[in-house]
Amino acid sequence: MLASRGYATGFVIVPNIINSVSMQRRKSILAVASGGGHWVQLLRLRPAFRHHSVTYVTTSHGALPRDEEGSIFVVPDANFSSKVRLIYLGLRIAALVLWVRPDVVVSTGAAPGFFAILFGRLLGAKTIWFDSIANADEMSLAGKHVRRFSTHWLSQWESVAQKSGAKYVGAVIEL
Amino acid sequence: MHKVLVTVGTQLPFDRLIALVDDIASELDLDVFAQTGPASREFSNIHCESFLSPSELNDRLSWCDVVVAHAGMGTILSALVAGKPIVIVPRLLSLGEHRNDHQIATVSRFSGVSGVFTATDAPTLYKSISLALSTKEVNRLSSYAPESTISSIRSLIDG
Repeated sequence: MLASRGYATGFVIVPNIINSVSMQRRKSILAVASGGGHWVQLLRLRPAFRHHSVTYVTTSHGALPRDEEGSIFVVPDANFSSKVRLIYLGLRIAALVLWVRPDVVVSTGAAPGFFAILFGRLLGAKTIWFDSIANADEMSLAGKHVRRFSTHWLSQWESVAQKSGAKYVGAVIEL
Repeated sequence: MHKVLVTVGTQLPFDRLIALVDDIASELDLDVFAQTGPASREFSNIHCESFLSPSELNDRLSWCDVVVAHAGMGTILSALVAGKPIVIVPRLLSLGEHRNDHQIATVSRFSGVSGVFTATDAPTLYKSISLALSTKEVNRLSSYAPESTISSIRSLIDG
């Protein structure tokens, strides 16, 4: 009886301090998107990056809002129709990933994000592919290629997620 | 005069759209500023620039009453955040205006959104611009994704 009472009082609820924000380690995030629609969507995710240190990568037409603290690198644009430009872009992104050594890589696409996810994953980073909302019927080409390097492979459409096996956690706009 | 910003995005020209607006500019009493991308011809009734810097684009978004644009996601989101009604016209793969027909899907997915109007040819463009011009107020879209999306992404990053 005594033993069981002592056993019962041994159960103490320990406050779960491990998940509190103040204990959260500040991570290094590499946030990558081609200029234009991909970039506009990436910027809409910024509140998710708060408390972490962010390095942005985009092609020449993107620009960081003045109030943003993160640093930004510009890389040349390329798509899957030009092999030479693609290889050059790949090398530039590889160099950036080696330089930044991110804990997390987040991308909304397209080709620059593909390379960042690929190299990031190879270096042990957590990678999040957030397919552009423009791909309303199926995952993008770059998205399909990057699947096995993505820790989290996301579509902004539930229907596309269902069809492709991607996850759906929401979109940049409520439709 | 009604102030119209036409924009075709940064990747490819979309002369067909510029020409459509050029044709109806005087009929609808439009003061048009067009970002044409790498356009291949001159247009008579409107002021054209190939490219705009991000801050120039923001200035033009503030200046205009209505945006007329290709159905590009960046443009649509930027117009909605600026609180401007937007008429979107899809680029067509069949006319060499794009690498795929995603914009047709975009037009159908966004046609119900408040402040967004759609068009595919001269008559529908005329009608949609008229509707957009008579829209009293468009609620400004938030600059950030919905809170549920943000917290989901945050969990994936932090976890």
